[in-house]
Amino acid sequence: MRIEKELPEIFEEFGEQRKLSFLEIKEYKDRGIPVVGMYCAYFPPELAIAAGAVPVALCSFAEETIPAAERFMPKSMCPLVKSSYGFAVEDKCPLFHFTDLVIGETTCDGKKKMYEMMTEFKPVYVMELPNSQSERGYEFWRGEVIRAKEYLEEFFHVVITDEMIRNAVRLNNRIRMSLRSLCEVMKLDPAPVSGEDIQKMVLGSKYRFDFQKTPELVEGVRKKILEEYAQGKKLKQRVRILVTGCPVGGDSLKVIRAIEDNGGVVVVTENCSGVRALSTMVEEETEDIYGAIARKYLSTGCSIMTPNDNRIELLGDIIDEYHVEGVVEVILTGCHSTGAESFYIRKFVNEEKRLPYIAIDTDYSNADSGQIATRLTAFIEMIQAERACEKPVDMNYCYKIVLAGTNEGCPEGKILEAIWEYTGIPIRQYDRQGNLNACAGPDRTTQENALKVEKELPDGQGSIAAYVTPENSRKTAEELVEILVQSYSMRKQFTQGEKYGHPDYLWVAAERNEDLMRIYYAVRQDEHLKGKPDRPEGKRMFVSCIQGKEDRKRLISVCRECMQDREGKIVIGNGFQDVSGREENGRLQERVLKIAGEKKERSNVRLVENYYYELAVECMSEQMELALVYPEELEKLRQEGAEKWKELYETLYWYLRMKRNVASTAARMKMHRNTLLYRIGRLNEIMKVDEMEGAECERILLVMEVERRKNAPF
Amino acid sequence: MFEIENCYRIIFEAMLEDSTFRCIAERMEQYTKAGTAFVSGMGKVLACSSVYADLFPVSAGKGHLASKDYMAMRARKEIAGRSWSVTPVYGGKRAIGYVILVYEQKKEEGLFLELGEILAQNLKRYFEEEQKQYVFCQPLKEHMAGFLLFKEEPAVRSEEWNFPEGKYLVILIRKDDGQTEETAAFLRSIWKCMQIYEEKDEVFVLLYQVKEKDVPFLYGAIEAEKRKCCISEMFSDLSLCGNKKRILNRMSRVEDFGEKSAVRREKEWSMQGMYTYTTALIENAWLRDYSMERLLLEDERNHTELYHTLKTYLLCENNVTVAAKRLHIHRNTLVYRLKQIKECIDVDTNDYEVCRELLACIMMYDSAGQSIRSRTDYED
Repeated sequence: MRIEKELPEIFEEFGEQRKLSFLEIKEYKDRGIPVVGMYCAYFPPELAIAAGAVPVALCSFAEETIPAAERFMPKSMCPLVKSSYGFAVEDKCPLFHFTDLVIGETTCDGKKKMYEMMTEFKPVYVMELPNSQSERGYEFWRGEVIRAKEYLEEFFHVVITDEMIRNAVRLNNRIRMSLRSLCEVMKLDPAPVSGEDIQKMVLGSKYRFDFQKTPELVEGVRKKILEEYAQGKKLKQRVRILVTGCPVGGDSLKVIRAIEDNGGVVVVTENCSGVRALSTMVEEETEDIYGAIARKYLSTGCSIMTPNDNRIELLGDIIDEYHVEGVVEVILTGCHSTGAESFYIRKFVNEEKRLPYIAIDTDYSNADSGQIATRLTAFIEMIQAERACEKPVDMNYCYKIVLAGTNEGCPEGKILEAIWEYTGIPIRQYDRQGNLNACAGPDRTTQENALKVEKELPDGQGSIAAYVTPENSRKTAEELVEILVQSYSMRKQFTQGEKYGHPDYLWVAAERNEDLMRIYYAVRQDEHLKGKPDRPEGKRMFVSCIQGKEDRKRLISVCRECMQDREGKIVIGNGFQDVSGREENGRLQERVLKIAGEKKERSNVRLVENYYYELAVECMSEQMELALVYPEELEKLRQEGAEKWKELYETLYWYLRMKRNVASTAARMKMHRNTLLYRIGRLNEIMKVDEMEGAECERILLVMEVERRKNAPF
Repeated sequence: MFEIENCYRIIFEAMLEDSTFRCIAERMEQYTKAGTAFVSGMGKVLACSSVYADLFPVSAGKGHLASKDYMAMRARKEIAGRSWSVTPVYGGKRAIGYVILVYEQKKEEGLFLELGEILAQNLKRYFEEEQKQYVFCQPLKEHMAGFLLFKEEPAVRSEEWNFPEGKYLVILIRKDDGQTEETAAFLRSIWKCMQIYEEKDEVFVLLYQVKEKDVPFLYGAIEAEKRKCCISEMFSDLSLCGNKKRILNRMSRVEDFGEKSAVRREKEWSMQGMYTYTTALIENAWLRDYSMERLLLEDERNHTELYHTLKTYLLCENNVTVAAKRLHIHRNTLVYRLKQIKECIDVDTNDYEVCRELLACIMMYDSAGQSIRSRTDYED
């Protein structure tokens, strides 16, 4: 869709959408279309759409209804719950007024009680939400989704077919996808529009009931933003802030305003009304559509979940993707789970991401907006001050240095040195294996804690990295790396035809020579494979010029193809760099082949990485006396008498090997759980196996492996 | 018969040669027909003549007094019709070496005793030089007891030595730390019953009469003091001393990455010790793993600790809670790092079989030590 209006006008329109929606919803109502009210991001609106109803997000972001709610609720409750209830009990929210059915979930304590109280004047259906995102929780939630669907069918006297729900899923995915792409324009640096505008769009889209047109409209806005960005219409350089924590909207938009009025820009919000809900889609092409819906909505990383791993994971990704410079966490007074979680969000942001973090504890009132503005201003100024220490770098001059150097045919080191002299940014260039190729700047010890910006060179030829020093921003470093990477491809054109610098070698060992010959021809004909095979010598084949892991992977797949209908086994060795280890490594692979022959496996293409443990055990059993390390515990076990010992020994071995997991041990030993538990009980009496530390278990297991190997007829 | 004065000349001339002890021993035997040997305070046979070597082939062959020969020496009984004279060399208050003369004529005893004195006086400086290599100067008997336990490994406990009962602990202290004496003194301060045996690079301390209930105290005290050493588990069979020595030795040679713990307990480190047997795979046969190298490289570039995190996680039997505690990080941070590891090396860390191989790989890499990591090092 082509957007004719001006952008600010559109943003304002979306901002005002909630008010417009009051009239719109009445129209729907008059046409006899039912309305389903919802509050949380855990409810799948797909269900309501499929039931032919209009899902509306009910009002919960205003200060004005809180006093009314406080007549029924304790003051210490979170403003979101109080506001929601106030709207409902006062009947101030026209959306609530027209709602036929409210759907709630057992999320936080406040909401649960609120839904109970609401039942007095509105039909409310509560979905039971599990407390954790485990497999069991998922199974349970899937059941709940289906139960909710059945309830809707009964309530509205409709039948929701598979077709209907799939259409709803597709529609919602489109809306989500469009909103996510819209949010992603904020990855641009400097940011194109303010975060508040984006937030208005995301929130406002929930109040547009003409769902079919929403994706198109949002996409149009996104295109327009990018168009204007290209024409140079963008914000000035501002501090890029991530807002996380409790949902922000209505009166609590004051935090975003405080940030954006004081030199920051909210590039992304990580909460249930922000990127979090948009980050995943419902899988469309699946048999079990309700399972897919359950999986998506359960993955919402709200702080009521325990543990809330999804949130940390997403936060880490977002910080990297959006070039975030500082994190602001909004905690609504009374939201205990977010408050408690902020402890390790702070730890994660400070220690793992090395960014500044601030927590804002607030409610919907305007009383503290001055205070918040002061705190956030200081926070932003602190980040700005760090930036201000930076020395301005003229990128054009860097181009000049690189160009001149390349044309004169200077070695990389020289060019990097010149850049370092000018910018003061330490730069390193690595080759394919990650060896340092060239470098400029002080010794690495001084960079121990410095942030590093790295970019891969084309064709996996290595990478270039620049360190962010206190005098330079990350952005400068990024730009610089970009220039150098470009210059590298340019230089490569000059020197094309030269051989690859550092070849990796590897061996392929086989039981039969004819298998190798087949592989030899196949490898030679493969265009994508960079490795060059020598003609097989006996039962081994030497391959050189392997370009790292990816190339080896390719070789493996070629071998797998060749060996598909063959009887014999082959082993693919590891890549190594020193040709002096050629013979030894070849023998090693033959050894692996021998070990591999004893083990049953589906594939006859064996990889050396699946035999490290066996190799180590064999090495040890050849050279080491068992008495050297024989632990007392095993000695004790021997005193049990030959028959009993054998039984317990076997049990102990598999129990340790299965990492003391009773279920897998029982399965592996084909034994009833109770028999196993009895034996483990005996083992506990003898050596307290369940009280041991993990490392100790690994040690005993290793000794047992060596013992088994020594005793094995070989 | 021989002249004592002539002996002075022999000693003087030999002192101009490089290997003084050997020269004297040979020439003295030529002249006096008596077997001559020099034994250091640490039981080392510094030099011996052929007569002595014929009589005590084991000691002469190994270059160290065998405990059997030592007992014979103490008893001073005649052997094969020959008499003995043993003259101690005193440095400070202790004997730092012995001059042994084996002669045929009993009546010449007085003469040989005198010769022994002369040799002892004149060679004192050489014995002192020899003793300087060692930290402890204890009676030869003590040392021989240690030698018997740690080196000769008696299958049956001999009557004469009368070793202490009870259970035992062995502690290894590496001499290159330069704190050997302090550590030994500290050990003595917490446990009275101990036996020290010193070798060229390390000192082994055997604590005896240890009871089961003392063990936690001992470990706790040593760990609290942060003395750099390796400690074995408690054991009750003295013939295990030699084995304990070997595994402790292996353990002490493993390079430390990340852990930074001074005290290495057999329970925790013997697995790493066992893996030192596999270094040939890494060093000679160039066993390498792309995934592991990628991980090490990632760590080097971003100053992260993914490699160490993975190792600890695997050693904790894939238990996130325990591993997080060991690493002193929050559980969520560990989960995040594991996700990064998974992305980086593209393996499924939930698969027990995969974990088994990964752990083996990490342990082998660690045992091979610095040589494997040099690839990711900066060349400048």
